[in-house]
Amino acid sequence: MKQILKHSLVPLLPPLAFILVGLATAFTAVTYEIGTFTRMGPGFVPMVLGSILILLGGLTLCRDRQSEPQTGIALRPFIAVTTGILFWALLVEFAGFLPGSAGLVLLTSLALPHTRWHSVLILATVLSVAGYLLFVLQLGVPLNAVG
Amino acid sequence: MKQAVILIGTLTISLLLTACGEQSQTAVESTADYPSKPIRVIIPFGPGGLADVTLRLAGEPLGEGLGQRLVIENRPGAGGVAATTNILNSEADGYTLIVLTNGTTIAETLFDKLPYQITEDLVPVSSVTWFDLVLLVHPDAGVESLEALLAEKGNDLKIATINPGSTQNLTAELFNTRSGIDATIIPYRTTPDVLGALLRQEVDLVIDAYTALKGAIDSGQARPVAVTGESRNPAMPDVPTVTEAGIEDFVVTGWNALYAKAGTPPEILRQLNDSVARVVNTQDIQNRFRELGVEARATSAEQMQERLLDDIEKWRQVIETAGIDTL
Amino acid sequence: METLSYLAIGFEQALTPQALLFCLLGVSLGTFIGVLPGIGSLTTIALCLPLTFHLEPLPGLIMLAGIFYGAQYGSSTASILLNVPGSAPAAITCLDGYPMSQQGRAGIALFITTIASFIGGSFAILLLVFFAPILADFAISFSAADYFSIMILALTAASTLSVGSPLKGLTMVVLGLLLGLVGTDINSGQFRFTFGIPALADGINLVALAMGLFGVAEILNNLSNGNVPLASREDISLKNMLPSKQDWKAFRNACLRGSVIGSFIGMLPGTGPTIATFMAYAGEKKLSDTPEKFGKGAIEGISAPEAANNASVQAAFIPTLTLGVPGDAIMAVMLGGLLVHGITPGPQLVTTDAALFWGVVASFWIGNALLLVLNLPMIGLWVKLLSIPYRILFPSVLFLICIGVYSVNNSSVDVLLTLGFGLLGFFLNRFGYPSAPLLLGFVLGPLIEENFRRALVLSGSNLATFITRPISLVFLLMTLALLSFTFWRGSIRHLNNPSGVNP
Repeated sequence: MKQILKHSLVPLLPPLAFILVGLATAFTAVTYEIGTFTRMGPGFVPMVLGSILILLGGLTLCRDRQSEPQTGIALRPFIAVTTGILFWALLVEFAGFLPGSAGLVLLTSLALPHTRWHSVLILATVLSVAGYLLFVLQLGVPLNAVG
Repeated sequence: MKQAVILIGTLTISLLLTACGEQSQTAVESTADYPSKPIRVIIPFGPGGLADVTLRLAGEPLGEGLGQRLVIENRPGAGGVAATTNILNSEADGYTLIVLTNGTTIAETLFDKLPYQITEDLVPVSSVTWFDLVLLVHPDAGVESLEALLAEKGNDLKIATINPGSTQNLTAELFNTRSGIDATIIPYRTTPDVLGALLRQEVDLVIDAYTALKGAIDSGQARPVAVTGESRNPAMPDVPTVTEAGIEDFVVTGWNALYAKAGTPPEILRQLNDSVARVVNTQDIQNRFRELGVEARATSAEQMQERLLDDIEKWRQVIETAGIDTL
Repeated sequence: METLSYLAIGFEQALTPQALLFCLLGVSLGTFIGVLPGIGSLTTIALCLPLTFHLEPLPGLIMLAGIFYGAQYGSSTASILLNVPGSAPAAITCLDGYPMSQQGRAGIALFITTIASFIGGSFAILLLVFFAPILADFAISFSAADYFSIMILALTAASTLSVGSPLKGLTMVVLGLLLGLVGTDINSGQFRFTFGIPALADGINLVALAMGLFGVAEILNNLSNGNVPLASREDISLKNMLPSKQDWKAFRNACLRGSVIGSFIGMLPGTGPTIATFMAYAGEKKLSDTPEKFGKGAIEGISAPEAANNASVQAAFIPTLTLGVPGDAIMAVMLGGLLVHGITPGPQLVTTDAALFWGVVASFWIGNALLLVLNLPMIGLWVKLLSIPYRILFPSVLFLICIGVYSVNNSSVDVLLTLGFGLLGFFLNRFGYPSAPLLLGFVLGPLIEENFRRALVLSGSNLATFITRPISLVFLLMTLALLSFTFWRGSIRHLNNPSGVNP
């Protein structure tokens, strides 16, 4: 399992990110009408919230900079789960429910080391088929089994 | 290494299956056999709504008439985008139909950066449902008629409708323009919220679909003062139209219609049009739709398309005048 | 009394074999769906709606209602056992339910939540039966200003949800408020933060957010830690399931409070069980003498929210059945189902179709009783779930989340959003940012803004409306009282413990 290097600047990322999000929000908000407090336009509340976010981000930067991430972030599960769900979401309407679901199970199972391929393949089959029977056939979710 | 192989294997298999899937879909169905399998009807709304209910009611006899089941698929999503994208990804073989509504004509302007063109990419089959909107007041408000209300309240008039960009809301905007007053239009999220506002008398007037508020009207919670159609609603013969009340150039009628993907063989379209017309004109459907407060009426494909284009233009002007944002 | 004779008619209707069968079907399906993360009662009811078209109206309605409140029984199961909520309101139960499970008290937790659900549901049903017309009129009289003030009170609940830095908790609330604004501004029709993506025009899907933030993030968390949750070595005998004497007392009061809060919030159209559950939890934590135990397996932390959950869902029928004003999107779907049968929902329903109305009401009570009978024996089964090896469990849960979220709007965009929120939640949690406040902000944000602006439009830009309207005034005062109380308590504690760690 690879670990992201624990750099002392890493804990600054979230508050910085919040400041950026706050700025982006405020800038977008001005393109909507702002209005006044008693006659608010659509941009008023986003503007206020964006500003508060900037403020909070700044405060966090100053006060809580000692805190580090509790533990490192392992790369492998992160990639496995992300690709698995992406695979399902992107393919399930084109390739069908069964391949999509099977792929999800296969890909996400890579998250833990020493994957036991026997049980993974069985799980993939069981879940895909049972899921198809329940969600598509019984409950009527509009997806094709294949294609 | 082993894992990489499996990964690649999975992806390859999926791609192969996708390709197979597409192959089977491009097999040409003979138009003489139409329909030889169930027909999907995509509804751009969730279940339980008016479009859904009326199509399901009509769907059964329609299916019987055609000899194949009609499978209703709900694909809600703003602007009908999810539903439209779905049908445009299907084959133009008459086995996938979509329900368009006057809301679609509004969406044409509201969502003008979409990758498709409703007027080009879809072709009409026939209309199915037509319905009016109704203007309601609180029964205890002492309002005699629409003209009286306008005279009394003038620019202080408060109208409640559902969300901006909906037919109801745009109808209120149109009403504002045509009546020459500057009423405040207050949008709410749902029809029940609108009814609540009326019950609390925090607004003077409410505009919504007749069916949605039929229960409230029948039970006396709300009193209709005008209907928005060209002629009076048979369920409320004493209620004048907005035009009768003195407001010119104001007619709004909602509709649901069946459309197919452009490129569907004309024989199939004709067959569908015939079947819809036959089903819609049966006494049973006519009665059941009337109970719901709507009218079952079919049209020719050309008439429907004409109506579609007219409505698109009409609502485009209303949206521009009202200054409503587009995506 | 007239009501009782109506009720008798109702029971007569509801106890026919057909009605009972569909009641059982509905509640079982509802519980099952509730347990599964992702797919929720709205989706299921929507999918089952066509089935009811071929039935008589009463059994159909009974079944759909059964799915609705049944789901609230099941949704806490996954929260307790896996820290993955079965539905958005169940996210609160994760906070204290999962720690209980980790302490080997999963059986007790499941037992308590089942009983709490029953108490909450029964309480609301009693209100419905005896006070429906009065309560419905009361509920409908709430205007925008009143809603605003209630939501502000609810917002103060957010502070109870953060364990750790209050600054970070607050940041998450604000982020949640912002995310709630994505979509169409109801007051003006302006598209906000949609970046030309039509799928966002209706806003971010709550289910996608909740499942991602709590479900996917939790799984990522476990996988990343490498400390796969241990198989439970719990003893599932009945004796071990029963709470202790002290537990019972805490439990009973919490349930009562939760039921009241849940019923109140539930009967207001447009609020929803998520808000009710959060407020019940916050109420418990604020009123408790030992707020530190919350988040570590406090009995009140699961009983009040669960009671509130079911009470709110049952109470939502009050305006729906009495006034024909659906209290919820789900109610609207069910009323739509009535349309097909030619029954136009409205206040006249109570009088013109009394058999239907009272039959449905009677079925509620029967359904809740059935759920109690169904769920209790299943507890042992659920706890056994914990012994499934995690490498099998987590792909299954991810799978269920994907299909569950997809089925809400038949949209893969929602599933992508779930992934996105999962990653967001995971990373932020690592840095000490809690997820629950974000969810609360997300749900409350749009309501607060919408109602504030609407209140001003209705009053003609007059700010005084928030104080002149009695209901609004009451809630604003309550908020003030709550804030002062918290400060006072906080400062007393600080005074007594000057060197104590203030998180």
